[in-house]
Amino acid sequence: MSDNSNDTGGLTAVIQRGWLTAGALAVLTFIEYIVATSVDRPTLWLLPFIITKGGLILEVFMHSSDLKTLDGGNA
Amino acid sequence: MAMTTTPEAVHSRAEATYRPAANRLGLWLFLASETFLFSAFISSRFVVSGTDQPEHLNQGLALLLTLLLLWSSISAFRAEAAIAHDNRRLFQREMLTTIVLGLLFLVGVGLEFNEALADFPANTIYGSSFFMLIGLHAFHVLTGILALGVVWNLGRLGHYGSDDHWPVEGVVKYWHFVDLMWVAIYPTLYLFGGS
Repeated sequence: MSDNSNDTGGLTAVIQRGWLTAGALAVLTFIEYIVATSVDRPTLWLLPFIITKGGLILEVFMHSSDLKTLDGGNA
Repeated sequence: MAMTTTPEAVHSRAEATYRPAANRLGLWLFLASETFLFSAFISSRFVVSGTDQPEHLNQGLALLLTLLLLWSSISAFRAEAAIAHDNRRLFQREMLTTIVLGLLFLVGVGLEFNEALADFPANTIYGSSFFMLIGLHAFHVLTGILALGVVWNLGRLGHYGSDDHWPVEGVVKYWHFVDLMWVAIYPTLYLFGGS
């Protein structure tokens, strides 16, 4: 088991996808906050943000699509 | 030839094939049951006080806590990806980062508790659902940190690799679940009431 990956390209690609997702989540969180503080009754406006953020976490971070085969993720 | 067809070898191969799948299914079922628990407390907030919320909520701190948890999610993701590619150094660093961010989140929750208790005590209508939800979530963060600590320490001792990292995958999935629940709790307690 070496310290350095023999598949650094694969690892870089996976991590890049993670950063993109985290960036999208951060942007969505800021927009969600701005909407909530500028709209009077924001409940319905905020639901799409919750669903999108939840979907991103489930799919990219938790690999929910692997449920179909019960394979591991991130490999 | 005969060696690979003994009952022990067949059993061993079957176990190697099915155990990770069974572990994953078990974890997903556990997370589903946890979702029901959180859903019950989230819905109770709307039952007892609609979408009304107190004026003195610390929005800045709540946003900071959200970003801390998001940051910990990406570091946990990096840790899992690193061990799946046999990069032990990155794995250990990112696990440690996740633990530290989790601890910072708990410190922030402590500050929020202290501040919120002065504005709306736990025996008020909003206070009861606020402290129950935040407390339930913080308890999950605490157990996540403990589990991350155990896995980090075992990784430090040389456990896990690209073909054997189920415990890392499991604890990281749990950590993302804690983040997922916060995605629902944050607007429920801080944003739905509006400006």
